[in-house]
Amino acid sequence: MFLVDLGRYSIFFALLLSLASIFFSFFGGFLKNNRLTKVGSNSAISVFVLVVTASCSLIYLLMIRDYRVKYVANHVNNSLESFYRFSAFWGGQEGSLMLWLLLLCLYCFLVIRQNQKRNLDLMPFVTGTLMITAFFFLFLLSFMTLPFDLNNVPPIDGKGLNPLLQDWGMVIHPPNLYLGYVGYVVPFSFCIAALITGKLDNDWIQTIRRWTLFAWFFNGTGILLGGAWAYKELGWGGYWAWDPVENASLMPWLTGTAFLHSIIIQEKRGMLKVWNVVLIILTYLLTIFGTFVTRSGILSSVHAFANSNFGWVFLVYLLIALFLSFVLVFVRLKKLKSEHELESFFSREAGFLLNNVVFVSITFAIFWGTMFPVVSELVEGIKVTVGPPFFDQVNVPIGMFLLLLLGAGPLMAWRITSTSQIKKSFIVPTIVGLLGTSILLFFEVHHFYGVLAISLSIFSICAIIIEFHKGANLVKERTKLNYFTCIWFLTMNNKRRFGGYIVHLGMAILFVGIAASSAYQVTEEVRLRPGESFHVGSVRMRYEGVKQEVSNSYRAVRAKLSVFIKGYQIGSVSPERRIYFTPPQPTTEAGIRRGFFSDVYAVFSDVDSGGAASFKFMVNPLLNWIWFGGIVFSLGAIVCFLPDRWSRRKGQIFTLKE
Amino acid sequence: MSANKIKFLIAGFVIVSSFLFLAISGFKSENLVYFLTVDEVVKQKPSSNSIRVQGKILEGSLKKKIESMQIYFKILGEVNALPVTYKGVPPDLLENGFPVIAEGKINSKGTLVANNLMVACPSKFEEMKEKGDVMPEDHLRLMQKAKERRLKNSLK
Repeated sequence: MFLVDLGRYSIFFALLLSLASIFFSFFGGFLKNNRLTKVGSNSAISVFVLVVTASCSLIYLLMIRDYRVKYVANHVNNSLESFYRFSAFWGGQEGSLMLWLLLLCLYCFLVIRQNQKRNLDLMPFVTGTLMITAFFFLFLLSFMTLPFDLNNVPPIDGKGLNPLLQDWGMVIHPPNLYLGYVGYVVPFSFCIAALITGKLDNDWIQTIRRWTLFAWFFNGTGILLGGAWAYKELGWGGYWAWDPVENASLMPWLTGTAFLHSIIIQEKRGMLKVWNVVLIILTYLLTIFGTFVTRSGILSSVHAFANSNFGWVFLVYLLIALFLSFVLVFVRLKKLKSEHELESFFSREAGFLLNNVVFVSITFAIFWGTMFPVVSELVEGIKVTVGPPFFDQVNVPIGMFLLLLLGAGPLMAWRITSTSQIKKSFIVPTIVGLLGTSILLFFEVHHFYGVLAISLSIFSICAIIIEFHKGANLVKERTKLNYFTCIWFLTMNNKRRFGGYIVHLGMAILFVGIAASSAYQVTEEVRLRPGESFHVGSVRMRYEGVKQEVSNSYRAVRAKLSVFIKGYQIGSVSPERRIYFTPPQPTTEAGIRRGFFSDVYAVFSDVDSGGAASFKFMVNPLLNWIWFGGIVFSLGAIVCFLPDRWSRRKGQIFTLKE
Repeated sequence: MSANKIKFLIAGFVIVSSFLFLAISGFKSENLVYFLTVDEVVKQKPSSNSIRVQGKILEGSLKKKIESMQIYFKILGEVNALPVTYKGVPPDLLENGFPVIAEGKINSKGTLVANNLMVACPSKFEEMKEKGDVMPEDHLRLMQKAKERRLKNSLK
């Protein structure tokens, strides 16, 4: 039982050391005593080492299938492959909290390493704040949900992993999301440190830019991966259901996006300082809230872990953190005054301000929609759930503003954009956008928000491409290089700006995918005999027949359908109904034929002796543009993240004036 | 306050209040799905709202008309049973005695016309077992045997 004891005591001592770190860091910071501060940061590093030790112990126990440990028995069984035994580390309640904690301590360690010679005034409080969050999770893992609890009678075989989760996508999704979630604690900690020390100039902003980008990137890709997995695995042909847990991962991303934009204004014009601290505090609180929602059972959700009884601890922590943070902001309000004023509606500042308002409004709407069931039950005793219609109805119109800003924002100048400038930069994208509208209407595509969304996206995509073109031409004038080389140098020498434009491009493409696949989806349910065909929208499905198949872990009935457009076969789909052996469970595997213009999606049931089956077909137009937009978004974020010195080789001539 | 500032404040106020209005107006009854127990539904017969009911499928009540893709069953509450119909491809794990969540509207005959059927995620079965509820594994085994029998028969 050495490893169990090692794990237990590591967590126990980490709990104590985190308290020590908080104590010494804050005292050292207030008294400006370097020795105390050093003890604080060394304690934090020790916490990291101990948490790594505990994590490795748990992973090892999972790999060797030691069923004396409850967690191992609950999430692993004798037939589970090693890959899934490893991923069981974050598959259950206790383990996922451990992963959260592990990443947090890792980030704390990195931040300490990165700031040994700078931000010396802020660092004690940064370390202290990071350790407060760590203490919270260590507290949960020590008293509420213990990973190293033992079974009274160790079972012969474990419960294993739900077959629905035995999929690489599902395995990657939580760590991906956590890399993001936990990342937000770093900029939050710097913000708190800045508020405490009163050093509210741009130092803390510049230090946390890349950290925020990093967290935001993984948060965003985590959401997309979750959607892609749900689409493939859950059999209802959708990728987003406004489920409370989905919303919980989206909200910090929204405020995080607002924050990323807003800090640009603080750097350039010293404005929106209050917005910035409020946004990052909100992002942190939403992150903790998200972790809470997944576990508390307070909201009914398809995602939720088994209901736990320690949700109240999260709630208490959230309320304390909320109260203390806003007291700090209030106390420092004078130091958060803007250095300049807003001069015109048609300025980048106004665009960013509108951006903030839009993102916070959407977050507010989603939060309220998600929490309304709880409030309604408390206040009126009526149990309700807020369905997708609410979220769609509220968020779609607001989202239209976002689509417009994606393109219009980059076209605005700082302080004020002259009327002639506006005319020059808006005219081509507007014409192209209107062209797109007329084409859609010509093809009798009638859906107000669908057409509006696609038109605005076309406008934005056009505006961004023109920005690249104008910039590339400027570079070409000065260097006479090949056009595409110019685009490369342009981007690499102005990474923040053009990386941001690439992200905008990705988001616009993604929105087109969302708009088209929502507004123009075609669904049909029908019973077919082998050989029969059926039309779904412009696609024809011909049912070929069923086959029986067996694998190591399941037996299946697999149906095959050929897909035709205008008489040409464009592919086939093979939906399945599987029955897994351990634990005995049936699943539905959708058959998907993915394409540039649309996805064809099929599930079936009730096969009879003649091979006839009940089918549900869906044609989702432009669905893959969502994932493609996500890839472009990721590339753009990476460009923004790259180090600045990569461009210094070529000198200043390619750096555009803002 | 300068004229500019007033302009911006007004614009800001207009934008924020229109978003707020949008958000609040979204909370109309049609967008809400009311949770009711089976017994509440049978007593009150709510006619216009979308409701969601949860319960176990009454033993022996599950009927499938496979050709027309219709499903009929009764959800069991404490006292009463609510008839439910559903048209379409059914979810997995829809069997007699199993817990199910049905969403939809009550028609004039007092039947819930479901537009959405959800079965509890198998990990919820763990909870049920711990609460001393029905033993899902037995049901699953029985169901699997039944399905295997059907498969064998259909593919002979």
